[in-house]
Amino acid sequence: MKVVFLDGEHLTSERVLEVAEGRAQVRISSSVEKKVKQSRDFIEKALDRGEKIYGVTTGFGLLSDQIIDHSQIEALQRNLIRSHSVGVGPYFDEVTTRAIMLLRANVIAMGYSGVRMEVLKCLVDMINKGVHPLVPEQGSVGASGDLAPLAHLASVLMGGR
Amino acid sequence: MGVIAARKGRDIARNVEHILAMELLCATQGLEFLLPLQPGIGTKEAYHVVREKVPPIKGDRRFSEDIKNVQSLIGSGELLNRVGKVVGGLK
Repeated sequence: MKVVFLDGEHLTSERVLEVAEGRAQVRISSSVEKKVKQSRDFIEKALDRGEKIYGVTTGFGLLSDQIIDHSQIEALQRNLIRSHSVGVGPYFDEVTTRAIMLLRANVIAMGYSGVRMEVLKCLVDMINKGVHPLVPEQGSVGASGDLAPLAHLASVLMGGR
Repeated sequence: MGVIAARKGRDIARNVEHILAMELLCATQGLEFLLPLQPGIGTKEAYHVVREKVPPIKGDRRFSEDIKNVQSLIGSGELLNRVGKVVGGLK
């Protein structure tokens, strides 16, 4: 089968459609791992230094002045995904869901997200193996219109817990 | 035109059901915060109808299913019927 390489820089709408429709497999380019690891290390080191990082050691939005204790930063991330899994209505079809997954993988591959490499690999594995989360079509508004759909996507990545 | 209007109307009704479901989830939880204060008999019945389908919120969880469950209570008329029986009919 055709292979689409993901490097976070050269994805085109034609390639997205090929992957979404199941006509191509996805592979992560060799240049990606370094970028992704660097951005992850950045976060880890800042954490080790005890720095304040929005959304990592603080609450979100109006609660951004709330400092989150180190013992609770993992729970913060899990709860963020859970509390945003509030979508309603019919689920996206498989092709659309695959496109959503690929676009998210592409963003992570840019290396600006602080996401672990294994999360990116898992997401790409899901695409290649046909694991498609049920993502409700409605539930987000405004500029952050992808929060709810992506939370449903991520909740499968973390094992539905 | 009639079909398009009907479909649009159906979508709007479903959207409103979802919004009411979220409000009802919050209100149900709110009643528990107000204990030992008790609501009226109609409100109390609505509370029980919701709690039969949705457990109290003790921490973050995926609320999508909760919203869906309450929406179907509203959309099916079950909530209205149960409350109606207790208060002697709703019009």
